[in-house]
Amino acid sequence: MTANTRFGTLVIPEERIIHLPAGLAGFPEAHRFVLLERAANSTLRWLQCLDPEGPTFLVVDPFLVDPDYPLDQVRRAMNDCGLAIGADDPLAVAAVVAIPPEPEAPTANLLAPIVVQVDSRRGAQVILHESGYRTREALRIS
Amino acid sequence: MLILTRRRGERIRIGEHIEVVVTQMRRGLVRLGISAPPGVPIFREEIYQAIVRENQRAARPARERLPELERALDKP
Repeated sequence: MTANTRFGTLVIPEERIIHLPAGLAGFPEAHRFVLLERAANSTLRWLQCLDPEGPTFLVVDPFLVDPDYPLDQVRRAMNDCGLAIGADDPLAVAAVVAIPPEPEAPTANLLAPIVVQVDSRRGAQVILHESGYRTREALRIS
Repeated sequence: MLILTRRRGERIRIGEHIEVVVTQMRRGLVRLGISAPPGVPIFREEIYQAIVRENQRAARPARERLPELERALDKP
């Protein structure tokens, strides 16, 4: 598909499009996304919405921020959404990063990751109710 | 808004597939059990609102801070 984004007009092959049927909290119309590398060695990636006027996010692998990130809770939350039924379904997990103006510190939302079932490329922003994480966790790479 | 009075153990049914049960009431706290089909998200309202705020904040990154942040985060 072709989409006009802040990165200009992007032509994205179907197999790279991520579908979030429920949208994101606060962005209920944002359904189709693509993950874009920033640089070969970059920890952060862009998650660009392909729908008209769609938002752009920075995301980070939450397992880099916390090596003990609870994959079992991620899997359970996806299961509750009906998006990953099999116990071995491969999942991709991304935490939304906020970079506020100085002097506030950058944070990652470890409470509500965006999780995608890799085979179907369908996903959702889920809430890890029992994780104890907040929406603003310090963005440090462990 | 519809307001209903329920005792402990009593239920409320919303449509065909959603059920809410009052499991415990103590010191001003009410514990609810909620059954809903897969795909119906259930949130504590204040947490949902916090995530909305966080997504909106994240969609406006201070881009001028990105190079410095990436130098700190990225592997060589």
